[in-house]
Amino acid sequence: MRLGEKGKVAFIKGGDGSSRRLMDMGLCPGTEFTVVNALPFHGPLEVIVRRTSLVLGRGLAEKVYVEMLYSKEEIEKTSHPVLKSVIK
Amino acid sequence: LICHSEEVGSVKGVDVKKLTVALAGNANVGKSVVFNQLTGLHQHVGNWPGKTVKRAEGTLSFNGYTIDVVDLPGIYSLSTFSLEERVSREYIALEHPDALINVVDASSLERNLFFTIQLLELEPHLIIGLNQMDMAEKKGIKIDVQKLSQHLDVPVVPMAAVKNKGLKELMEEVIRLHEKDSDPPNSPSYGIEIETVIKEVVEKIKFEFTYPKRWLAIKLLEGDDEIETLCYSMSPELATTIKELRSRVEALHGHDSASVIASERYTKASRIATTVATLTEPETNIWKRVEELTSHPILGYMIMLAVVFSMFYTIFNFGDFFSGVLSSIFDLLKFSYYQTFGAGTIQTFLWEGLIEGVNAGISIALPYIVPFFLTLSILEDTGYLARVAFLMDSLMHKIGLHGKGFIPLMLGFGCNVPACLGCSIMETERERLICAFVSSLVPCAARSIVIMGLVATYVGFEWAVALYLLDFLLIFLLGRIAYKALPGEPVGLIMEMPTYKNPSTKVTLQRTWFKLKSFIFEAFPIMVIGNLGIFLANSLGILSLVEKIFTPVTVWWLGLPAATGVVLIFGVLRKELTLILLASIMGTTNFALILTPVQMFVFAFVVMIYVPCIATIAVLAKEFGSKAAAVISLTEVILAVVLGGILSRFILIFGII
Repeated sequence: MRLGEKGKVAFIKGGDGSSRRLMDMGLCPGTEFTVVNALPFHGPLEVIVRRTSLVLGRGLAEKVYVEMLYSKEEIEKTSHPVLKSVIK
Repeated sequence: LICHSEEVGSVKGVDVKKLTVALAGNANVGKSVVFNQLTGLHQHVGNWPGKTVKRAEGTLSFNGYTIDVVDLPGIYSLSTFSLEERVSREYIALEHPDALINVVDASSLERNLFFTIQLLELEPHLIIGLNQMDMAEKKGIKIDVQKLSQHLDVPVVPMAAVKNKGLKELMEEVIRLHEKDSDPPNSPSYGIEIETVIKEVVEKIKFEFTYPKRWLAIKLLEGDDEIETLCYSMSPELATTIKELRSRVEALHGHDSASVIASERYTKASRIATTVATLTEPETNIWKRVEELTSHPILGYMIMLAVVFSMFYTIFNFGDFFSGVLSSIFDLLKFSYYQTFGAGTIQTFLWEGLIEGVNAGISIALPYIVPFFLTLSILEDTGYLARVAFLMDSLMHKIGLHGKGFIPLMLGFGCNVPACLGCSIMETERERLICAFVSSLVPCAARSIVIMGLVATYVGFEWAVALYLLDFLLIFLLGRIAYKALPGEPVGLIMEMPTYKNPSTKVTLQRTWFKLKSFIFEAFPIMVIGNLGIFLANSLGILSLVEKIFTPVTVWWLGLPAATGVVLIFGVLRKELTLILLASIMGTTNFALILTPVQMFVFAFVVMIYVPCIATIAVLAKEFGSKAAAVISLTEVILAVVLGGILSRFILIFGII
């Protein structure tokens, strides 16, 4: 996923510990989120999930399998008012 | 602080009534602010029995009640991922506080309610303190308090703890709830499919236990190790039933049952949040822009460097100045002391043996530690430290720690004591230990004095820089070794990114005072005892014996003058003492006359690495047990000696300096 894109958690792979923590912080299957910031050199991501901002180390982020919802281009291009408010 | 102590005991002439109240909630919800506002200076911090988790407890008097407040750690769930979670759930279920206050961040209702629902499953007398209402309003979130209370069947008190709003009402609610003496509220129900499964498990649990049956059932379905062992030992046939039901849930929902239950909880939380909160356009403010800049992939790092640099610059200057002032006051006191009482054996013993230890703590440690705690508290309360953790995550992963581990390391440059105490921000015992180990290797202010005063002054600034780089390399390598050697899985970074907020002066000052107080009570006695021990050893002539014993190491292996043996022993008290003592033993402050450049470099290196100072050892022992403290200290001594000798030979062979 790239910056500014919106996705949905499909499932979480990985040890019991990490999937627990991800889910405790609100990233359970079916949750929508937007990537708003990513640091270089395999750095952590910042995502907006459930109206709050969450920081996620790359290692943990890689355990989350996502379903893409809207690409950045789609978000920018769309003129549909309802869709716009949904992706916002 | 709400305090009506004059009313205590006067109500109908009965004795003081006692209540125990616990605070629970996520991190960053202002829980500790609530705690500080309630208990003020009447609090003490200890550890949970047998655990390295802090237990803060305080008391307040309110409307004829003496209320004991226990601040539970900030957590996001009640599984057994961390020690904090385990401590919290055991406390709630086993000690049954008269009321459990769930401090909830109004601006992040969904995630907070996810935790609230879990708390309700333990069936406590719950009250919700809906905190940070002011912040939520600024973000355009309006919450119908009445509705929230109805949905959860618990009292809800709106608050803004930083501004001391709503705390009185909260305590009134605690008393009302206690006097009403009703049954605890029911825990919220989930989707019909999962509820049927839970009910089936509940019916199978025949034994009575301190935890509610419904909670046990849910935990069994989630696959909670601790509860599984507990229940299966009481009724082994339960294991097959649970296995069967779990696979049924999985077949039905397509995810494992732990995920299904988490999703159910979040669905519930989300549904409540959307019905009780109305969202409007948030107020635009400059903080939003600052938030973006400070976590920017390029600018963020530049800002961080500037912040960290100016922080250290200020602290060092402040510390240096006050350290000087305090030292001269002590010198003056010492002078007048000997003037008044003379310099007999007893007088010398009293001053050198006892008072000097206090002097070391006051004039060397405090001037650096006070501003450190203060700035740290401010950086923490504003929300900036979370950005630092975010920015440093990928670098810290190289030594097996995540971004938050950088914070104690950063503190270590000032003093290793707060650094080791600060390691409690890491989630697991393993992470904490690695973090404390590497923190104790960070060149603190005292070591910097030796490096600067000796190497930078006499050998050259670039050699001082070389020493620092060598230290960083060592930290990196040792961190990696510890990371590979210690059992357990490394933990990734996951945390809330808090929005910036203004810290409350009162809370900041209070927090600094408590940190300071625990430092004084823990480190000072050891400093005094250590000082006394060395004084006695010195007057009994043991030290010169030690010097002789150490000669093979100091003279032959490290290539240093024999006097350094004693100096290095004193250095355990305060590392900058090595320099001061060396000057007094050698009778000159011109080190160029007594040490060659190579010796200076090796000496500074050994001082930098060998055992953390006595105060740090004390903190390590307190946090991780005396065994861990001994292992860390010993490792560092061996390391310093072995590497110091190699370094000395290497430099001499290649004739670098």
